Amino acid sequence: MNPLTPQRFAVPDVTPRPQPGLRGIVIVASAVLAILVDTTATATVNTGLPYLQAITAASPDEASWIITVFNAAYYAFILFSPWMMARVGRKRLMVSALLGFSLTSLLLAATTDYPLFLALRFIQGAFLGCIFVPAALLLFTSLHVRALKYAPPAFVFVSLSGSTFGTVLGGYFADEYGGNYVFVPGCLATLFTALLIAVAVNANDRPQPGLRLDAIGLAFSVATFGAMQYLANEGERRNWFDDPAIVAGAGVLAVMLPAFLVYELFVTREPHVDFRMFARHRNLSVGGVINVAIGAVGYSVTVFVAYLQAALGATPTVAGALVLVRLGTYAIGVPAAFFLITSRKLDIRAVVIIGVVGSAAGLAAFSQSMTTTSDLDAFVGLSLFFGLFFGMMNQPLGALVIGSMPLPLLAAGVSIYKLSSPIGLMIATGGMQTVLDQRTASFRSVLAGDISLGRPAVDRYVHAHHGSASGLAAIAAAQAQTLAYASVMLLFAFIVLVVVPIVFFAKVQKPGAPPANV
Amino acid sequence: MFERIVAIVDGSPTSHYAIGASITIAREDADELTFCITVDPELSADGVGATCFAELAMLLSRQMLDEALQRAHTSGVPHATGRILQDAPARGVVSFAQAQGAGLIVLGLAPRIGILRPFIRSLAEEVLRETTIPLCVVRRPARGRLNRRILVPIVDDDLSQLGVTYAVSLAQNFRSSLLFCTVEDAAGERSALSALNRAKAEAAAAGVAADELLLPKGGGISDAIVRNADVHACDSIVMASHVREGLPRLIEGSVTEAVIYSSDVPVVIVRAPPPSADRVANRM
Repeated sequence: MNPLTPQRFAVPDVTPRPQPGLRGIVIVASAVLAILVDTTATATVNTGLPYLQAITAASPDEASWIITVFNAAYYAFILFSPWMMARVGRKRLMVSALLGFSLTSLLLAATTDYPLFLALRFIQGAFLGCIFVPAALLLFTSLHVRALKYAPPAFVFVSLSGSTFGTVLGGYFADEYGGNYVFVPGCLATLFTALLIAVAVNANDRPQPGLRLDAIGLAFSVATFGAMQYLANEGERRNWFDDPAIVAGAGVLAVMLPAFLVYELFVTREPHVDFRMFARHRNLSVGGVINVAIGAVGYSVTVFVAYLQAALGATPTVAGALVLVRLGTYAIGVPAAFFLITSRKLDIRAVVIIGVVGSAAGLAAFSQSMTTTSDLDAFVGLSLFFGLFFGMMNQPLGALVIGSMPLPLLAAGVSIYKLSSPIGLMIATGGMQTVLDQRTASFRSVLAGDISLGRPAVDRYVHAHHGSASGLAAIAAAQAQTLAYASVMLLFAFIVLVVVPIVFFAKVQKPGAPPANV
Repeated sequence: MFERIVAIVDGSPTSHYAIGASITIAREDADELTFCITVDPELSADGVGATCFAELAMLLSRQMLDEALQRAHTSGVPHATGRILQDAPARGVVSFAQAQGAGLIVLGLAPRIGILRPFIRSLAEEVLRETTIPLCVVRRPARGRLNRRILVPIVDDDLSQLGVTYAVSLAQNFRSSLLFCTVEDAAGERSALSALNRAKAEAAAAGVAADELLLPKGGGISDAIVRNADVHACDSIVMASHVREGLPRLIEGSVTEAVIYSSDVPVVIVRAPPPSADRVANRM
């Protein structure tokens, strides 16, 4: 590329077109449904993964690819979807992506062949990646003037709810009907949403057929996210760099990530991602980094669900339901944060800090309550408490990342908002699984050292169970595992506190004179 | 009579009807018609992270104003302008209307769930609370002219007298005929008839044709007003309102409010200056 030739970015049409009456309500509902489908679908399949592994007769090594290929395509296409929307138009993209997702879900529900399963998962991920950004834009551009004020909290609440809801939905379908059925709700929901959009939404945005496909950039993006996801899934299981596959994965990431950045920044004339917007819009960078941290904390849900199932014997449905109760207080925390900010009672950073401190306290309380003999009911109140502050923390972030962008960059802002959280989740998946395993081993070794017949409790147990050493070892292992879960939960509490110094980098201007009338 | 009319635009279907009604009125009697749209100032305020939503709101507002102005110009209203007000809806419109010396504010009334009605104020009620500028509330598309025949519900009190005086001047200006109606009340038929006679006499003195209608006691007053507006082919209703507040509003409700939520024809509401203003005037 000639360095003097300016880069050309695809800017999707964001002209507001609210419709009156029932049609307007249907359009907004279909946009919300599409956002919910997107956030629910991933969590649903993750919950049912052990069942899918059994159905496709995949080894543990192979099962990891079921998640990896899906997420590689999903994340890459979230970044790519603003370009797609500009190129083919919002309605055409949404209907095609929803129908494509529905069809691939149907095929996945009927497939047991592993290679075909992987291919379909990649295609399914690509289709799903094209839904969130156009759905968010459809929502924002379909609201009437008076409703626009409420767009950020409503959007954040819907986004938060979807992933929480997906965990319980996936658990329920896997429990009740078996693995392949985890694809059925997504299939039906996307089909229904596609029909709603096809009927209600006008195709009145202007596609830009002159845009050139950034195929090389897209390939770099898929390879980058694929490598990241592979390392996150497999790193700890393969003992990180002791395994040549992990070394190879890290090598791919080390080459592909810089190649992706350099290619998009300096080589191509028509990149599909404008990385320079992070430099131009400070709040996008700050909000993105905070969202990565919050995404990492999102892995606490996986740890909590694993603890409930392993230590307390909860089914996936019950474990999901205990996570789902948070929705009740998300519904309070998100509007409360919105009210505090818009009424100028508190600075946006103060609201984030309150949310962070409350969330950290909630995670610490979870950590304290996680024992091998805990009562499931004890976590209901904690989940409600955590949900309140987690909701408060998330609401301003949506406003920071999406709201602070100029209108032409709205699609790009939404894609960064959507993508930053899973990046944090990927980092946490790899890192926390390692910490969890190391803590488990450490606690086991400490407990083993403490088990001697000299201790009255151990002596009583050995006599009561006729000297069963294996039973004693199992109790010690379970105890070590639970202590590890609790310590990791406490670590999440510290991680979330990292947000506090970062939020001070956000650019927040002081309230000035009221804006002039036009 | 009105000189300046302010019409509130918000993109809702009833706002489209209000635009139509304001154009019809302005074509007959107004020097200037201004379409106003209010954008929440919080959207544009710094520090709440809503830059793109503020841009969306401004873009949308300009689109809606352009459409309204286009309608006004093609309907033969040359002096139509548009304003985007960054303020709370009622406060912004009232301040602007007062500053402009507007003679009428026209707005569309969005439907509301009945059960919430006693607890949530409509924009029409909020505007009424803030100003004594007459308010024209539109719920349905206008049928032809708006002031050919006007229904004027009255009772035997000072507030109704305000409504009568306003309706008579409106009819005089638009060459309309009036239909005064009242309900037999506890004081008996004589009190109702005397109110009707006084209203008719005032109309006659101004050279305005007027009929009377005595409604039997019983049944809902607001229903009777709306039904008779339809039966007697009236194309608007003029009423005076108490603008009740707090507990009285919750307990007694308001006939005006009930009428505006069920009338198919535009309702023009006039209200007396607030008591505080009277007290200040008396002291002076």
